[in-house]
Amino acid sequence: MISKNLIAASTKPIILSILISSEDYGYQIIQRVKDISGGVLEWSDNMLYPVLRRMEKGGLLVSRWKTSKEGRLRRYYRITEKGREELDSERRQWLSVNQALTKLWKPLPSLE
Amino acid sequence: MFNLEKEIRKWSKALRRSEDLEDSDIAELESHLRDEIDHQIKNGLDEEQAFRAALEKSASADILREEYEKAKLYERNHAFWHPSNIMPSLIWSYMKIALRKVKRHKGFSLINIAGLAIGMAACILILIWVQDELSYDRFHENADQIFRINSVDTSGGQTFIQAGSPAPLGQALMEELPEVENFVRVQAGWPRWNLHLGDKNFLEEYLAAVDPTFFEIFQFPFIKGDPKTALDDRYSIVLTEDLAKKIFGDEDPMGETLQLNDADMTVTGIIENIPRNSHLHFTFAFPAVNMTEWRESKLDEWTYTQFATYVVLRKDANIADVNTKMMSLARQHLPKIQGRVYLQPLKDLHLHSTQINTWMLAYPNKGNITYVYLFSLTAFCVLLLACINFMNLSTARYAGRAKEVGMRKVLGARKSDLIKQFLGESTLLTFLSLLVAVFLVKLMLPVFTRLAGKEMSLIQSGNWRILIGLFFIALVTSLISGSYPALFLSSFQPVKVFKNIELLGTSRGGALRKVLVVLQFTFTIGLIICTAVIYHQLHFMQNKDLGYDTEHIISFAGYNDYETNYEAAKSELLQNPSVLAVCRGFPPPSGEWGTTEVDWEGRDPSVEVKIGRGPCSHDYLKVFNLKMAGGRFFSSEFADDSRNWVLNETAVKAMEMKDPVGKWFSFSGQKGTIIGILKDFHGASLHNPIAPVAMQPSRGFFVFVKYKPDNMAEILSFLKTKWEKFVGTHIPFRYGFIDENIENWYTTEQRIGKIFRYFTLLTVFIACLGLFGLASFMAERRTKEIGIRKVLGAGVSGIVLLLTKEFAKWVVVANILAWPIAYLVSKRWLAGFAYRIDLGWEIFVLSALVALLIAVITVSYQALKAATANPVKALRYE
Repeated sequence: MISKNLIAASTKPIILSILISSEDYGYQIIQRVKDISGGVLEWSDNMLYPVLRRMEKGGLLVSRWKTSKEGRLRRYYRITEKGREELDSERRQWLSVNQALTKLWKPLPSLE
Repeated sequence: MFNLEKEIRKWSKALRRSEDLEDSDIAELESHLRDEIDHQIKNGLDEEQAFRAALEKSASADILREEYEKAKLYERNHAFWHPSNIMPSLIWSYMKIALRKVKRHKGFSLINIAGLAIGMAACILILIWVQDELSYDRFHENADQIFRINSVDTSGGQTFIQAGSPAPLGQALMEELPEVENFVRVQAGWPRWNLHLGDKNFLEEYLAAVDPTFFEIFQFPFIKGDPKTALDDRYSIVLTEDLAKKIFGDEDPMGETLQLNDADMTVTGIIENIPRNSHLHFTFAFPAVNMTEWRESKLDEWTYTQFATYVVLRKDANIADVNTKMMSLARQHLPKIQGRVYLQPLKDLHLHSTQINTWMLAYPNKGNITYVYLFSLTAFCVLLLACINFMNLSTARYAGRAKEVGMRKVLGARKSDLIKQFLGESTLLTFLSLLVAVFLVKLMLPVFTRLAGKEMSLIQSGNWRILIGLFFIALVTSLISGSYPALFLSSFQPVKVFKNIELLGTSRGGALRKVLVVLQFTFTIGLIICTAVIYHQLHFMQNKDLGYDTEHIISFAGYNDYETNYEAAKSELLQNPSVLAVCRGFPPPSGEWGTTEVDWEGRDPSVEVKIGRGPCSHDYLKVFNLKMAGGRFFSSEFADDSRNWVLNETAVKAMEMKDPVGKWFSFSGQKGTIIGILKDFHGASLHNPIAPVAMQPSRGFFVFVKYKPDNMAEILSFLKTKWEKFVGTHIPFRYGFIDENIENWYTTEQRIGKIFRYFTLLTVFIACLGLFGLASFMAERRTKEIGIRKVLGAGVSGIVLLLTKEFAKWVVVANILAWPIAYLVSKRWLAGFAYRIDLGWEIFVLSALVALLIAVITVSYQALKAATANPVKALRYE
């Protein structure tokens, strides 16, 4: 189980990373996160939407309405240039945290 | 039985309660929910289970709301650009819609804009006038410190206030009171002074006989000369720009001499022309000292009060204190004084002098603060009326726009967007009206100027305040008229709007509108009544028998031969067959210049009477046709008639005399015998009660000629040739008519009456516009009802009655409200007349009928249109 704080912190880079390849709608985004994380990252379903809204207002995403093949109206999100920049900086931050933790945890001698 | 769609609707309705979730958010969440349900069904659950499972995975509505609120906050704190505040493309769309609405509903928009524009225009006009009235005498630098000393004479049981005060009082105040910084005595405004340069005469100029301090105290701007020293020399004279040009042409007048009363006066200063909004009017000024010689003015005597005294007080002076000190000072010198002296601020002189006699300043165009209040109130009411109308019509019209609101909401407009749209629209319309109003004012100003009797312009100093005021009024009007549709319509749910349009504009707006219509008509009826009362009173005054003939009598000044060789001149005039009678004296006396220095045979010492004096000649009765109540009038057959007296009935009554004929009577020490009693007559306007007067033959200033009415032109040319013979050509022949003079007593009332008439017409017009619009709206809204009624057998008359009845009812209510108000106002106005009409019920009932008739005519056009329409058309569209 991943802590609430960590989920909150990671939501933004995860959404941006998913949308970097193609536009997508909320339900699909949740499904992909679930698949990628093997079910570890479990977001309360519709909690994603306020986050999406906030990111859209922040200019990281843009959305448009599109009717899917099944005839359902869906809102698709696409990353903006600003979103890409944001993802870049997020990535650098996450990588440096990751690096530091990896270095710190590598030997683990005392555990033996 | 589980109904998935119903459950989903219930769920989305719960979310809809939140302000922070927009319709698009809810749609997105719903789309998600449906995807999840589909997914669960695919996994083998039934609809109900799938719905429950999907809900379980979702966050609760409360948490969602919280999260969206955070998103909103984030938007507010972080976005550089607030899309909800500035939306240029939408503003353009709003403008387009607003203008399109104006175009499409031409009649309605015309009524709406015209009504408001006319109301605003009327308001601006009135405010220009009010502003002008308030601007008098403010241009003097120390206007706050200047006061005039008025005196109140209470002798003889009558109160008489005049602008004159004891002549030496100013000097005494300067010496005794530290608060008094300066003083000046003034007599001004009288024409026909013997002012000439060589043989050129300037009779139509106005004097100001003043102390040398005059131009220090009153800052009439000097073009040439020094205000401080200009009048130091006894034989100096200051001219206005225009007069200087008239006398000297393009020459430099400074240092030149001209003749005033045959004395050589040196021009020591040229001032700008006196502004219209000054209570002092003159074209030349000279030291008052000269008047002691020329007019026997007793400038050193405390009993002499024919000059007005102005004082300049120190800034910190206490007026009440100065008044008390001044009074005790006056009492030292005039121990027998009956009445008092008091200070009146310069700024109040124009508007607060109606009860004060200002003859020494010859100041005919006195303002009246009551009228300023009355007109301000009228302006306010007219504007209010127009605004009410505007609001009424707009709200009625907005009801038809519910569909547009619904459409905008579906397309994603938020409540705030809609509010902005409607407010913007009403602002656009009101400012359009304001523009039209300003244009109307420009158009109407010349007419209004004539009506008000003075020159006024829109771009006058101080009038910018009116425009700014109107700008705010327009803003408030648009806010109020826009806020109802903005708040009311924008809160509808689009679905309801599409389903049922009838729901709008019926119940909620209806009550408000009725109240507004009643208010409007209350005001209109009140104005109609007041106007009727004014006209009634005017008619009464102009047609009341004054007790003497007023028609076909010419008067002119009796100079030269008319003064010194009167009898010969008179017999020459009488040779013309069209001349019926000639006399001289003053017009029938009013008793205004009375004295209490009277005595009579058998006087009860406790009785004190103030009696006025009327100079006349023995042929006076032939011209004026005054009636005798007893005794005889003066006659040339009695040689010593010049010492006898004829009194009027009021005088006899006041003196409590019985059988007065043959008893002695003395006036200012001139003792004589009473030879006759005149029936009472009105020497002054009907504002005043008849005063006691005494007549005695003596030289009077005027000559009166009664003529046959059919050949006035011939008479005038005849009198002109005689004038040239008896008086000379150096003074132009100027004449007046007695009935014209009498008309002049009521110029103010006539002017007020006229202005009231226009405003009544205006308010009736505005009220009708409003009623017309409302009726058309009502008829439209009840199309279906009327259709059904007709199908069920209702006749045209029945339907017209149905629609008219409703409005008539409110007009009746308005009447009941208006009557007591109009009654009180009229009563107060009438109290200003000693002789007045009775306020009968006829005026009220008639006004009510007129209002009702106007309302019914206005409404019935629409009603008739609705009633004669084919019911099939009305019912077909559903």
